[in-house]
Amino acid sequence: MRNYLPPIICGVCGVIMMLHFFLPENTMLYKTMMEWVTNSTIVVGVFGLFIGLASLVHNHGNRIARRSPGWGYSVITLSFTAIVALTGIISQNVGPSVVSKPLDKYNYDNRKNQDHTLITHTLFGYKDETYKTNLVAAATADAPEMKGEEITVRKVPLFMFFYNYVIMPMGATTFSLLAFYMITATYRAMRAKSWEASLLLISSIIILIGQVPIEEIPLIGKWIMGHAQLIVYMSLILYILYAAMKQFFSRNFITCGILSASAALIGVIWYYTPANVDFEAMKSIILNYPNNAAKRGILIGVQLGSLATSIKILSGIEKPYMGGRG
Amino acid sequence: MELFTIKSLPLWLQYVNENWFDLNKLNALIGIIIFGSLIVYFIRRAKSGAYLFVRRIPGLESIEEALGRATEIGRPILYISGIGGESDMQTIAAMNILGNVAEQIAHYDTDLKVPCINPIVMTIEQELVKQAYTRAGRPENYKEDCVYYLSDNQFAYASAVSGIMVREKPAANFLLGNYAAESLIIAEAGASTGAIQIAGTAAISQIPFFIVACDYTLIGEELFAAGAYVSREPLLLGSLKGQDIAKLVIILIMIVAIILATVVSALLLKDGFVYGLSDFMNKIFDLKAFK
Amino acid sequence: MAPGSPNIYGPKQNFWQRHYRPLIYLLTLACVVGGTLTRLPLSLSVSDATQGVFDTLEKLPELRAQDIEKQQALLAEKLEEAKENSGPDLQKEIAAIRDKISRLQMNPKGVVLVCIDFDPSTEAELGPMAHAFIRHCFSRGVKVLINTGGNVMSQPLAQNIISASATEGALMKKNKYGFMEDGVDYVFFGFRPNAFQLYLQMGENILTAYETDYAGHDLTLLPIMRGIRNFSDIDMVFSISGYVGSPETWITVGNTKFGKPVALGQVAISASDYYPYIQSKQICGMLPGLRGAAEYEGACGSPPRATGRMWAQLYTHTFAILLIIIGNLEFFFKGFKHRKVS
Repeated sequence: MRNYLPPIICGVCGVIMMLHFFLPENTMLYKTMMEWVTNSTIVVGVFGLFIGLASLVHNHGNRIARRSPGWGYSVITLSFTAIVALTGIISQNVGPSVVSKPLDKYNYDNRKNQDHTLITHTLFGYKDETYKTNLVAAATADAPEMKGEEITVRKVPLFMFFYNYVIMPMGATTFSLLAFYMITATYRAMRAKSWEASLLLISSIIILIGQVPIEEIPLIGKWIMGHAQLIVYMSLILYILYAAMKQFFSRNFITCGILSASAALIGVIWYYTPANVDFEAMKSIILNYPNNAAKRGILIGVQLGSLATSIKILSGIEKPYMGGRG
Repeated sequence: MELFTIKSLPLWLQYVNENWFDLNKLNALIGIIIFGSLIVYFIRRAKSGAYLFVRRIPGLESIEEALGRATEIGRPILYISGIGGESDMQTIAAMNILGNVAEQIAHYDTDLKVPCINPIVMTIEQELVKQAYTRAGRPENYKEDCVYYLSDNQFAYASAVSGIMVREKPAANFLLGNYAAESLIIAEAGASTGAIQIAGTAAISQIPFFIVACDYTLIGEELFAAGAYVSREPLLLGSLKGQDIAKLVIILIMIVAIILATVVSALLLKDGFVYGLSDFMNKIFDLKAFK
Repeated sequence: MAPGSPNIYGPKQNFWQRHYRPLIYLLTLACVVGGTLTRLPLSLSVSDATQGVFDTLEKLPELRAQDIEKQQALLAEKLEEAKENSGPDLQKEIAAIRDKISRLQMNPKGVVLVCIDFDPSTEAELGPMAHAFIRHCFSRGVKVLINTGGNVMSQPLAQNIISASATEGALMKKNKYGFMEDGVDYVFFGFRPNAFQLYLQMGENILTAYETDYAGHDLTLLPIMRGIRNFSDIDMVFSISGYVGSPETWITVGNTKFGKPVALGQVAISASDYYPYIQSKQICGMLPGLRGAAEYEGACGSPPRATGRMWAQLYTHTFAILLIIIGNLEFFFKGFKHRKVS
């Protein structure tokens, strides 16, 4: 029974969902099934939340109990899990206070005709001369409202405090690591080791240049873009001549001749092409044609793979929910 | 009696369309039937002993090498099944591979660590790894703590995994499943520790990062083929073959549709058989085309 | 460099080869800081993808007027039919069409659904485009419905963006607007789990998907919801997402199922995945990353949040190009050296 019941449940539920896809949308059966699926998913999701929490507490609790290396981090993890969970449950009136004076006033020509204070802050909090504390309310619905010269005090919900000043900066910091990793990965990987790598190199340079307005760089931007055609064609010709020289030293004179002729041809094309190289247009062409073609090819393959995997799971050929093979 | 005549067929179709079956999706049903039939046919062929060729996938060939290396050095193996949920196909494909990898690890008696981002995926993978150890005849080596939950926040998870890589220095990292922006953070952290890294995802935008930072990368549907490739089971190989033939059928339809569309636009056709056929071919995959 | 970690240069290394990683990180930091401190204006050309989003929003009143005309034509047809053969079903249909027309006429400038579905990690790229789009909507008098996708972390972020956009109309460079009122000019539904099923429920009736707004007010009492019952009363969907799978959900639900124009706001890494959808016209446009946000700000006159950050991107891209050139020169000269030695 233990071996048969899960695949039967999986198969039956799968068939029900497939039938649901084919039902006309304005029928009562479709709406009832939709509601049933929605509610079931929510219920299972909530149970999943408790399982995750239990696993977290169990795992870190064991590390603390055994004093495993790094158990201090487990103490921090568990205590902050508890603290932030509590802040979401307790009243919104509990939190740090913000005292502020108006920075500026705007008269809005609208139906209410009321003054509204614009709250702004700098990188390091509010400017000291205008605000009494450095705690920042951020531009939320709870931002203080000023009337004339009155100073009002508002409570910032503790949960929003954690979100704005802990979660947001930390999330942004972790994501910003990507920039550094990408630059080093670019330096390591973008080498013209083969013709495919050269193709990748050329297209990535075109996209990089097309993405940003290099001509706006102070002092040198306009010079670089003004001579972009020179730089591009010269680099191409030099690279082909370098490849030709390699072939010459390897005694492949025919290949050397062909490459030299290609370099000469590119020189002729350069002579007849217009002065400006529109990198943005080239970027659009690369993104709209070869990129789309490759993406579509991979997408079709991936979707077919997903479809095959679904059929295998529904028919019981693969049973990942039962430990791989039943 | 008038209900059961040929003349009443449109009325019947309308009744069915409004109440039981959306006829606009008939092409989807036909597609599923054809696709399913191809898979069933090739599964039968595989079961009857026919040889089904699957091309070499370097990433999957190197799994044993990676496990052997980890055992020699005496360092753990890290397996990450991505950030997708339990209903994500890539996560399911990654879980299939985990079963096979865990079975091999059980034989080698190496430490396995499987940090998870989703609690439901975690429970499935716990069961999976336990069953794998049992199948390998080493149930006593299974450690309950080897599959654990970290956080459901993408970057908190990436930071935690990077920390695990730097502290515990696993010898082999398997990064298989659905990834988003955290892929490069995890892959670079792994690369900096000197581990052998085998990655695989169908998330197209992350593939370049894995190619740069990992030793072997499974691209797109190689991830879905991995379960069949590693286990070499006839059922799975047969379904893989069926999937490939279905792809071939789609490619042929697309080529014919492109040729017809080119002819129609070159000759400026507005009606006729060729125009009608071209129009039909263009609508084959459209769910609202026949409304 | 950590012992045991891989080095692409082999055993004999010079200073650069030993320390290239931290040096590159420092120079990248310098580019980013330099870009942050650069306060010059930046002119950007608007790409077709961004222009598609802008034009669709500008044409919303037209789209709505066309919708009203279509419904009125349908009403006239049904009324003609009723003259010959009036039954209870036909009367129900006529009442429904009249109801639909009156709802459409309540918001002649259009209604947009904005799905803010990103967390703080992608706020740097997606936050400015959310600000710019919502401000553009307010400046054109378009009613805005805002919800979040499948992740609860988007909710406080969305709240911050809406509050700022609703109160900072005077900061617009063109088309300034007054103070926008919650429940009248916009409504924020907040977070509910199970996004896909939720969007499908919205197609039937928004009130079954969301009973209250984020602040707990009953939606049936809000003035903005008088003219909006379901997807047929919404003219456009703009999904700003940092998560995998969310844009595909909106394309499936918003465009394929309900036939509404869908626009996307994506981080630059994921943006290239969605160009095929622009070509197949499943989406009307896309704002790709920080560049897309900066282009949109310039087009609609929104305060330049993204445009300021573009300087950092500009310097970093230039540095990346220089690194690629240096890396390749190093590679070529290493090749020369090896041949000379052999």
